[in-house]
Amino acid sequence: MELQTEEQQVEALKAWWQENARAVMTGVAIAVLAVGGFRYWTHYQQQQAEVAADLFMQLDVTKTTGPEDAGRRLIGEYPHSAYAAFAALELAERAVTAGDLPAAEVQLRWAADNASIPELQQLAQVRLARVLVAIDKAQEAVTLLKGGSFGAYQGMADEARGDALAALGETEQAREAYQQALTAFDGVPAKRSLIEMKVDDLAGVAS
Amino acid sequence: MLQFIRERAQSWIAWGIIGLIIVVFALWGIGDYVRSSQELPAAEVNGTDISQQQLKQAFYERRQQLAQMFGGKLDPTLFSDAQIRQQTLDSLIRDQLLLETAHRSQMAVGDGLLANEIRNMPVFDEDGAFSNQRYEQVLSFQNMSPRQFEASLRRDLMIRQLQVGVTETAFVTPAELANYQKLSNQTRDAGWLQLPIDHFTPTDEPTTEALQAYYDGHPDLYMFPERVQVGYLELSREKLAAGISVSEEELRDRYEAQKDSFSAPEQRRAAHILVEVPAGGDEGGARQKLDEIQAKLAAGVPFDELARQYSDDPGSAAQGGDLGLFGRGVMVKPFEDKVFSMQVGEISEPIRTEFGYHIIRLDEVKKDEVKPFEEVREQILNDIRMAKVDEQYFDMADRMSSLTYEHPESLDQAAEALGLTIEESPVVARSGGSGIFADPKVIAAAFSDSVLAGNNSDVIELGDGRGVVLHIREHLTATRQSFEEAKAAVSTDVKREQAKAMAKERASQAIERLRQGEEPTAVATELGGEWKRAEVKRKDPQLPPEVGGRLFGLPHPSAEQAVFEAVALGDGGQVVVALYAVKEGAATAPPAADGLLKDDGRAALDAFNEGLRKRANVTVNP
Repeated sequence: MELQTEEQQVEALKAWWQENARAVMTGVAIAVLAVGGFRYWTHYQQQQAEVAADLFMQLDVTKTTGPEDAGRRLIGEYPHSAYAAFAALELAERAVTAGDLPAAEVQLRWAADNASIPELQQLAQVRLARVLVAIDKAQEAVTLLKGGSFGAYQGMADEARGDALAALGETEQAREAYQQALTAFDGVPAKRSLIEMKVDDLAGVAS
Repeated sequence: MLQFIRERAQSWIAWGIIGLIIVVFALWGIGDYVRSSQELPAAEVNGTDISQQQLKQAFYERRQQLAQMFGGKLDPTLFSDAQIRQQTLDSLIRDQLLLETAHRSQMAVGDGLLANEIRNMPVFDEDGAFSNQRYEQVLSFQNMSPRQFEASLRRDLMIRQLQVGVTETAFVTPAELANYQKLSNQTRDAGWLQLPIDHFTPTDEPTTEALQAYYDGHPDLYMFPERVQVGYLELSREKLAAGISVSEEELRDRYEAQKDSFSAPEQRRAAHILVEVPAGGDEGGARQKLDEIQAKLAAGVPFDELARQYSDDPGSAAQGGDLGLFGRGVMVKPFEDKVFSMQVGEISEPIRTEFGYHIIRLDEVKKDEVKPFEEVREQILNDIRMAKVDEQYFDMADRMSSLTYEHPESLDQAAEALGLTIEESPVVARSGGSGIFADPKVIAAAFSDSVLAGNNSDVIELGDGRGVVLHIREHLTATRQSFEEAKAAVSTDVKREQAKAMAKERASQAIERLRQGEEPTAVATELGGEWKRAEVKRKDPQLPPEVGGRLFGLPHPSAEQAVFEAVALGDGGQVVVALYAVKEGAATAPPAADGLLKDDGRAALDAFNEGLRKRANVTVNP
């Protein structure tokens, strides 16, 4: 490498800058814009999420009755937020409490199709199937429960399938479904004792 | 190659790279690159670390909570630290996953919501309303800044939103509720006959052949467990203490040297007259009363008399205002300051405290005085003796340790050098025994590989001022008892099996006769029992649990024919059950659904957590 004096170096630097100033400036500008844009976007997202959170608090899932506007707004305006899925589940619960099962069916279908978290989709499907059993669509419930995969909700799905099959009078299949649910709920005494009670009752139908 | 880079470096690629670097550092900083990686995190959850520090803190908190729940002490056999650690780690991972899911699903807790939550926490209330001062006070007491607290609360709230979204949306359909009530309130019309095992005694003694056959048929029974017998040296503080003498001179010297610590702090005796100030703050009345008292004092009326007449302190007024002897730190500050600045016999001007005004008379000053030698002699003797014992004990334990280590094949050298005798233990199994074997550490050492191989054990501290070293004498491996040794036990077992078979036989006879329509009461009496009949609920205390459980699992009977079943009890006894009718349960009041709802919500949340965990990428470092 050839030796350069300090002055020469400065000269070289200046020359380089003259040649590349535009490029560097453009690069920096793009970076600044990108960062700014990203920051603004996250800020906007956060704001939206906070508004949705407020609506969720207004809906107040701990209650079983009350105004439902906040829930409807969540579903309509923030469909990709988890709050929307919770709102649908909550509206379904309130519909069940009020005795309006078809309305519950509508909400649960929405949640089953649109919830952003897979577990919530599975939960909504199981709850949907249970509502179907209650409105004499047990066959449809069985189809739904047989077709899907329910991950960690498999135990609840099996129990609901048992209920649906029992309602259809398919005793043997119902017993099988309950047995599967019992295996899944190994270590959950509350659920087990309920299902065991249902299994025991099937013995009566058999004889 | 370099030429190539040089050319390209001045093109758009250079801008791009520069821009990219700026963006990366602006967004994520350099934290990730300079992180010290000396210690592995406790776990990694989808790329986020749970540090050992976090785990440790949460572990201690959880253990303390558990201890509080169980009255201050944790039974380590019920809650081992390893278990608590595992649970803590699981819950940290669970919370992290919930938090991450919440963030990803566009959930948030805004400042308004957070502020609202804090305002509604009763801990921060003062006079029924939120107080900012109290807020900061409580937090600083917890060693937390508001910023930290708010961040952790925000986290908790977000997690809670997810949780209630799953649990509080649970429902029970009318069909499910009706079915549940029909089942859980169901009653069954049942009859039963108990045939307890002790009603059955085989008439003939079993033959030796029968016993031999049973013994041969159960090769895993009738074992002697693995056992050991050891010799041991014991070092005892108590025995050492007996051999230690302390001279009178030593005691005196110690007393002189530590005189300061044998003194009692100064105490003063005072009397007072209290004039209360009404809550409204009207001091006029009090002032007037004080003037009156002071005038009378000046006129020579005795203090005692005035105290009885005027003092608002019901405790002391009757004693003429006397409060007895007290040291510093007992009375309220202004009162104490005054008392400890007065001369004996002096009467003070009125002193204001939170109780009102006090006029005080100082009666006596008991200067701090040194306790006489005789009074503390016993205590000093004890102290010196304990110190000497400690010294001697540690010295001997040290020598015992090195001697038994240097001569691992025998305790003799150590015994001789230390003047101890070797004691012989009884034969003991892993399940433990009495004396030194009551301590699980001794059992563990006695059965350790090193001791079984013929080496001396380490010095084992028994915790009550004793230390022992073990040496194996005899090691009896687990062996089967010979037929002769086991004969008595085999005989008992064979008879029990026979009795069981008899009970079973009797039960099936009973069922046979009942099926043929014989009168149950008569059958029962004839078989040596009593026929009972009742309408039974689930988990009915009238029936043994296994019988109740079976009864409710029986098929429904028809109108003509009851269902019969023999149920074996745990001890081999039998219960013959007849089921005559099933009565569906009636609907009860709505709260019946609450339990169902709760169970369903709980199960939904458990499954939610399980699902997240299954999908997540979790690494746990041991």
